[in-house]
Amino acid sequence: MIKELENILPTITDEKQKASLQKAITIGVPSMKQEEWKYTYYNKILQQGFTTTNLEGFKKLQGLKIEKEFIDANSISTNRIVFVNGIFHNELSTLINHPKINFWDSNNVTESNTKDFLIELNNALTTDGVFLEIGDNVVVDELIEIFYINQNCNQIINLKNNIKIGKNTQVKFAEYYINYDHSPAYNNIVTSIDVAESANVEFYKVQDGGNVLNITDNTFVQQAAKSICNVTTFSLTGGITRNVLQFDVNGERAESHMNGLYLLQNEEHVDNRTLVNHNVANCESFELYKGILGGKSTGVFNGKIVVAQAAQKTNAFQSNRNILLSNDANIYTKPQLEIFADDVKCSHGATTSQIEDSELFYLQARGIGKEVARGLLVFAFGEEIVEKIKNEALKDKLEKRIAELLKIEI
Amino acid sequence: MQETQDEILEEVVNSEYKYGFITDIETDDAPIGLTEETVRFISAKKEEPEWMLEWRLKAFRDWQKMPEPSWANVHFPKVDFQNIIYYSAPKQKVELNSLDEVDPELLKTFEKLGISLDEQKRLSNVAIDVVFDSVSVKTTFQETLKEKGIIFCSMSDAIKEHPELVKKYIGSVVPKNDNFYAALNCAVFSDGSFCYIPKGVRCPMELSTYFRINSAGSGQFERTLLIADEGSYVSYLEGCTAPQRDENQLHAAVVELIALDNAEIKYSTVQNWYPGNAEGKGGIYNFVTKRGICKGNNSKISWTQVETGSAITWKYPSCILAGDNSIGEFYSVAVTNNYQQADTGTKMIHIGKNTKSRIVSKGISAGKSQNSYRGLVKVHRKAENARNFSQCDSLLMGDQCGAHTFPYLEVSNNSSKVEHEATTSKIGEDMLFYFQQRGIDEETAVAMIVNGFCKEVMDNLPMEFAVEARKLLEISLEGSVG
Repeated sequence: MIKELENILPTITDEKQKASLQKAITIGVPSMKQEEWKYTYYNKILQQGFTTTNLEGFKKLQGLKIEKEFIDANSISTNRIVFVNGIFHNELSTLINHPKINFWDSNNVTESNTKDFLIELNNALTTDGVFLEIGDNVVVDELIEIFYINQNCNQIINLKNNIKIGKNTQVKFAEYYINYDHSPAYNNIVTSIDVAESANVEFYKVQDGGNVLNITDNTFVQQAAKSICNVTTFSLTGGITRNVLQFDVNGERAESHMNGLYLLQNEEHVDNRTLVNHNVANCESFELYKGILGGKSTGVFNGKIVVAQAAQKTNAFQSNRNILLSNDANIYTKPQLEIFADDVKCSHGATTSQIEDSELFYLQARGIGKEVARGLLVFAFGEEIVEKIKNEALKDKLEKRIAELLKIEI
Repeated sequence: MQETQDEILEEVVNSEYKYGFITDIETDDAPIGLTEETVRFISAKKEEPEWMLEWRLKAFRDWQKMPEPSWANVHFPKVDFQNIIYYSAPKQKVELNSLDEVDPELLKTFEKLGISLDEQKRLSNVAIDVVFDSVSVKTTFQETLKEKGIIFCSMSDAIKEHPELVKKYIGSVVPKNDNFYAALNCAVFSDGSFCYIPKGVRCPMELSTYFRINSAGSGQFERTLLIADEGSYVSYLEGCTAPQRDENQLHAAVVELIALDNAEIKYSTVQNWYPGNAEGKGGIYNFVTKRGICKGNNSKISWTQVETGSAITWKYPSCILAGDNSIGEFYSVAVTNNYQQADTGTKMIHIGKNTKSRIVSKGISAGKSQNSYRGLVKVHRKAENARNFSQCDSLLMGDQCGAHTFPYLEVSNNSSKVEHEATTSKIGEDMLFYFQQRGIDEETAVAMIVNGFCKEVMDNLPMEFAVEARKLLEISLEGSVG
């Protein structure tokens, strides 16, 4: 991997990208010896034979055909932004026409100064991304959908999204990962969302790309005063999935919500890492991640709340609840608090358990078969996250999908 | 209100370390620094058999290859391991039969600490293996224990008199290359306590060691080995105070507990070493490896600790629950003030079936201190019906301090239940108001709230310790409200 990166280093012309690539090479591929990667074996993704090339090499890959009907079937909104193998697809996308909503033809490359291999790699080799700016006082009723479609691509797909939301604006996003032909794929995506004062943003991530789609996702949210932002992540199927979600709360009286549901039944590996930085006073954050682990799946949860000294009167709540359905499944959870202010209310909780026998018995006593009863209970467990979705169409879609995965009818 | 709070805080912050004094006794020191020669010197000094020396040397060689760990949430200048005296023993080493023969300087020290030996002997029914610097000077109640067949002696005596037991169990819970500080301890440990409770014996009294670090610049490397044979019970106390020193002193102890079938060990600690002054100067570095194994079925190990001292505490008393139906418990109160740093917690490793563990950790931070809880609950694939409950609460006093929690939960069995909860808060104004309304002044109110906060842990301490622990809490915190 590193060797490949070294090879393409001379072909990169942009100075910032070059610097990022150089940095990625210096940092090196994440290893399990690093605390942040303790439970996730990153090389397992690379071992599937993904390669990297520069942008020129990447463009040659294009020209594959995806029918419009395919998108129609998967979409529930008319606002669609579609990427096929990391490149924006004009014909499949329909963009909102509104004077205050601007999509830029992007080159999102910025100066990046992190110590994270994936973020630097993304910045160096980014092919495209959503570069969207929504002005002040706009209410976008309809969901904005973002599709990442993978089709027979053995390249690492690096997409970089940059979303700016104006004051008092309300908007909802949903992003989907789709593996069109079920060949191994790997997406490395970095999203940054800038939420201005009193804005209200909902962002739903649906990761359901089949068991050969690997995802490493880094999402950064910056919140200004009085804003509300909710990021909900659904991990339903996948190979190795790693979600890093970071909230920086920089304005007072802001509210942050982070929710997640991982429903794993095969050999999926999902690693959710969240970080909330409470930098100012009087803010609230709520976090609830729920996991259902069956088969030989592995779930990792690492939630961290940092309350800076200035952030007095912070309320931060975090909860991670897991159900283990099989003895071959593993859960590693680490809810973490780092608190430097004294006038705060912070709590976290984590549980790992299984379906209660008494609950199963209750349903069985009423003539419901054991398997269905189990499915119903698991569904109900996950529903707590699903019902937080503030878009009916998406909620229905996810409920149906989860019921299908659990082989029950609702 | 704010003003009185500040005053009280000031008062607490400025209260000097109560147990700070130095005893003048000639010591028989090892040369400064650590080489293979030092290890040989210590071993020779203690007239150890060949196998012990070999064991020490192996540990030393492992230690040389190990990097110093840096993962803990503590910051301190690097320890120069070549600038430490690894062995210092009081010169007078004649066998003693009665207390009269003990160096009067020593006796005075104990009196100042409130543990005058004969008083303890008569009043509290406690057998004390006093460790003064690194050599056990006097072991009391040996006779009574002998009747029951209990072996309670210093580590060096145990090596000479019960080599088969020592050989069998030493390093069996904490391997000599377990971690950096454990390896260091294995190589240079000077002395410590050894305890063996035979089958079916219920130890009639609380066994106790009183640690004291005395000689300037001498790291204290204690080693405790406690074996509870089938069906036995023992309660062991460990308590520490140390005189005021300017330079940092290193303490890297190792404690190993072994509980066989149906045995129960209760291990309680009150630690009040010199924490450094209000500017964070001086203080003890306390890097301890404590681990117990519930080897047999239905065995139980219970750790209780009250940590108020040390500049840096780095301590994770752990339980390996290997036997079926075994139980591990951890109760902790960690108090930090001024510039103290504590990174403490526990590990519960569930291996056997129907194993249970319970963790209750209370952290209190004041001043500019940092207090971390770091814990691991691991449920192995075969640990059917394992059950864990953890609770860690933090109380913050003042806006300069920090409280952190790093719980790791690793579960690989689907019939187990693991619960963890943690909260962080300060003493609420409403709580204080409630007390004051009823005519209780602020200072007493805070003391009562803190006592209530820690009650669950304090209740697990044996009587002898509970009193001292409460006093310690009051000294270090009373009245500091954020």
